[in-house]
Amino acid sequence: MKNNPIFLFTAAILAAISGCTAEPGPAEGIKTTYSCSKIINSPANAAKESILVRVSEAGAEINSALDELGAKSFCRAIPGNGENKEKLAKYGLDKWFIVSLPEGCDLDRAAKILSGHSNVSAVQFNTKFIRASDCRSWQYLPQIQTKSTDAGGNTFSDPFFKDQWHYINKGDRAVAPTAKEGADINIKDAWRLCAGDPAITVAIIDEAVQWNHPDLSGNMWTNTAEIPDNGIDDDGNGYIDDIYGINCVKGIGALSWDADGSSGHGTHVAGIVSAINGNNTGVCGIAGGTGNNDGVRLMSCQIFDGPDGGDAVSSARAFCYAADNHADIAQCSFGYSGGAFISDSGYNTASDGYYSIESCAMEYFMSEGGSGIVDGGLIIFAAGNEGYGMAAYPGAYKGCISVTSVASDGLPAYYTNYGPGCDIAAPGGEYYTGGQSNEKAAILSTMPTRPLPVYDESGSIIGTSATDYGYMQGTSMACPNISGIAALGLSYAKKIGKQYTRDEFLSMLLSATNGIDALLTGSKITLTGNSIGEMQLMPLRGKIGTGTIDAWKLLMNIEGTPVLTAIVGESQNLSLNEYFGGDSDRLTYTSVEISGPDMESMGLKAKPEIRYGKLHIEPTRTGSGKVTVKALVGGDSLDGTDAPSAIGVTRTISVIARNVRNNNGGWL
Amino acid sequence: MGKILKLVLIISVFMTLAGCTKGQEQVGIAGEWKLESINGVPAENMSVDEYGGLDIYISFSEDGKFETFQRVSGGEHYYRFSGTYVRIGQDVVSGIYSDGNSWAADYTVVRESDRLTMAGGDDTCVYVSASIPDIIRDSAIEVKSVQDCGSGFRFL
Repeated sequence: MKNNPIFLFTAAILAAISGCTAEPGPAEGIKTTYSCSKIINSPANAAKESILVRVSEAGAEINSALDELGAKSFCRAIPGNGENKEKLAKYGLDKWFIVSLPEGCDLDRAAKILSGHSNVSAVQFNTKFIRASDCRSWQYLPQIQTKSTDAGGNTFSDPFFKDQWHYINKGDRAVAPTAKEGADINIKDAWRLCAGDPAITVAIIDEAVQWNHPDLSGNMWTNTAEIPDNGIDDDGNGYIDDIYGINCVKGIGALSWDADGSSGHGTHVAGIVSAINGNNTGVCGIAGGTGNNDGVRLMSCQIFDGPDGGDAVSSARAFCYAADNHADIAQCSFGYSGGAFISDSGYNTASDGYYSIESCAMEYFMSEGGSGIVDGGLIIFAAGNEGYGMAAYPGAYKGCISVTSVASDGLPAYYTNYGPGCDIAAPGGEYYTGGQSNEKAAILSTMPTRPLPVYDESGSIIGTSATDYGYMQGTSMACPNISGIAALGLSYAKKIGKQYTRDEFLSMLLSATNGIDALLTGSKITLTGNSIGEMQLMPLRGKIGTGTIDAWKLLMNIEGTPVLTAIVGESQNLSLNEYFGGDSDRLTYTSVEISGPDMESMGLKAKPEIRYGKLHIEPTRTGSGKVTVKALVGGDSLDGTDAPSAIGVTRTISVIARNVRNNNGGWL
Repeated sequence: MGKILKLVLIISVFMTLAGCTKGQEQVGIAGEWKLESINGVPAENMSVDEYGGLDIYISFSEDGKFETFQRVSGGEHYYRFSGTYVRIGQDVVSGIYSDGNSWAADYTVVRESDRLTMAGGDDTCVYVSASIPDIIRDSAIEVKSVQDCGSGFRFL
């Protein structure tokens, strides 16, 4: 598809599909102050049929308020069984309830009535998220395979791997006129060391994953404590027949990837993480294994159910379920509209210190999730697609990684959010790279095996989603690249017997990058507004994150500490690119520490320090030592009062002081 | 006459022998070596972590090829570099890696029974004769080019 005006027009219409809107509403999103301090957010973009209530203590009743409201039901937001009861209580998650409101109920009035009850400590409007992609999918048309077109040199046998430029980018003009060789995640060498491990689980928090897709089914997580389809909650976790995950919208075990209004988004995202490798079928997934049933597991936490869901309570259920079932990573290609929240304190706090239900649930996942390689769960969010100068929440929140998008030219995609809260970049695809309009420049992955109807705002069907395999673009696609690589990293850590704290692992992940800032000069040709034009790149400098992810570098970070050579007798400034990513000289450094014996070993008269973004050191004799350096990513401060808080990254650098240095790392 | 002849014979044999030991042959470096110390500092005391200290093996073959297996801080795996070397005079060795990078210096070599000293660029490294363990050879990660290492990765 090249520069077809009808296509562009249709695309514009489709971009406005409800639930998939690309239009931001920053004005609506700004938090209104309420005189009643129990109400912790505003009704902007909130679901109309439900509202959330936090009671003062477990078991407290609020019947008078419910009666006055004409509430249809009042239930625990997060089911608690024997096992997780105490844990949930620790985070206050046992006190959150969802109130089902009568038709046409005014949200402000409902909030007022509920907050008037003495047993209610907080009221939260059930705000809805948007998927971080236009939900448009393009059909993949496999070429007829002949011997001569057989893609030699593929690591795996999957026939469509050659069209996944985000794995190996050959600079093919058929992808984009400005496609750049090497603008990929550098997975080929990483796969020499590791391709996944079934002990690692990624929770896909999204539309449901089609669990029986031929290129996904072997890698699905399954709840072995449940007997399928017997109508009984065998494991007593509050969900019946939850085999591959849960429908967080309805609060039931049965997933629905084809509910009217679905787009295949969840299936596409899941495939990027862990489509089965080496099965002679379809595409490859970053941590999809080697063809021996050894890919990382995909858990489907469905928060979008057709036009429903995608709200605070669904996502809270998702994080809790993922944590309780030991998922290592929460893969979140969704968020609030850009500008809905502009600081951690704005997003998080309520009156009297009661945090929103989903931030409690995220804390729950970060502390209680994981399978033991890392001491908690890792949350990866898409930064958002509104070209907005800040990462969307919840991704921008402290402790969460927020991912921006680059195209096949290695440069930021026209739609990507940027700025504070954005931590790292990955390929998310871009149809319009170089002025074309070509789905090959988007990201190829699995799609549902049945076409799903795509609707416009008036409810008319205007097309169908791609079938079996297809292309999509968005920070929604960039995000699972990071989740997949993180999962690959966890698999490798498991293989070599290593364990980390969350901070350590996130530090390694965020520093496994290639610099992008040096490329952000001049402009690139892509979609600007509604037509092809020049997008200026300088304004994005320092705002895309630490750089573009490099899977090989992450495995090397896990494998062991890279080493810097310092020349004895020289006053020198050593680049920290190997430790803090390719744009290390632009980060904010906060401390440099070294032990006394290590200073002695290298004959240092003064502590090493950061100068011009590099490590300044003057060894006076042959020796070695470790230097611990801390820096900030995605912001200038850990304080989230006025802006998204930065993530603190700590790396321990090994230094050898000697008299010669080789450029390639060789000893001689 | 006989005595002078004998003396001449003895002297010429002596001079021949002296000639043989006095620098007509190059210093022998062929074989496998393990780093013992750098500038007097024992390798095992450098960049120590849970796997041990700095560990470098070098193999020089008769036909001008070399390999190194390096484990430098914080990793279980060894990295294999390879390339070619040439001899200059009796005791200088100059090499180039398979990726086209030269060695950081030309090295002057001295051999004393099972120890090889390589001095170059102000560094003096002493290696002891040792065969490279199979497990290190088999599990080593091949470094084919700078691409493999990333930019300046594993910068030594």
